[in-house]
Amino acid sequence: MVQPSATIDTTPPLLLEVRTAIRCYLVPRSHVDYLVKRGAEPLPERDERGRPLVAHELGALLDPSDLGLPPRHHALMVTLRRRTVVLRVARIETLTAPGPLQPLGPFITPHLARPWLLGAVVVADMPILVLDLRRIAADVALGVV
Amino acid sequence: MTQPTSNATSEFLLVRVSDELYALPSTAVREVARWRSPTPVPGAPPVLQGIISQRGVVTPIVDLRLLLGLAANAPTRATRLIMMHHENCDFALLVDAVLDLTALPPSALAPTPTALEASRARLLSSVARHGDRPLGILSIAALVAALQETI
Repeated sequence: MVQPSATIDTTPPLLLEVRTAIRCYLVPRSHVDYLVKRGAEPLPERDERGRPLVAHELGALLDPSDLGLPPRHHALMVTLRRRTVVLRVARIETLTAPGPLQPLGPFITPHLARPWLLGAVVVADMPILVLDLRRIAADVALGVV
Repeated sequence: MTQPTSNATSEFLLVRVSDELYALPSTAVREVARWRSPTPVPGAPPVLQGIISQRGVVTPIVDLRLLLGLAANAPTRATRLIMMHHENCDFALLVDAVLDLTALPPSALAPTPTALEASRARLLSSVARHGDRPLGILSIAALVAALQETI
């Protein structure tokens, strides 16, 4: 069968299901450069290309009460121009077939303290927030949080 | 087609918010659902309790108690979510209880008292009585405007 030369890709983006201490979020896979498993060992000061590493617990950035990870946890690495941001989470799972990304609407989006949310996806009749991880990492790198 | 006349009786959904009674124009009400735990939205104002999926659509929950400056108690078996639609906006209003659906003629509606605090008065289109209790008639347009402005 001949495929049309230009098609619109309606495939939803691949999203990672991320568990923090008490919540669950979704993150576009394309926002993450590396996924790593971490133990109790201290984080090196620089990445392999010499960029300083800045680490934060992702859940606590979003909600101060969402704090406390198990000793063995995961980290989402976002490489920026001058820094690499390490966002630590309890667990990462791949979600292969998410529904469509829905906007949060005019009551929520303009009133958010920080523009860190891309929208929400309904999974098993529960909305799960989709994070703008690159924006979060940029704010962490700039030291605004 | 018959044009609606200004003296037509309108239907309202009577709700309890904290220990006060309010009425919502039934034309804006889509359905009433039991309260269920929402997904919290970090960084959202407290009046926005979170989001739920209502028939697959992400819908914000607006805590009417906080919007009216009243105390917010923990949800009970009587707590309800009223699914509202106004122009392009869909949202769920959290109330402490839904009491009744009632018809009010225009003669039962009185202007909002000037003594009422401004933050609450701006959300009301008029007032009435339900038995011996005062009843605030909520303006959905004013409510939506308040939500879009500052919260």
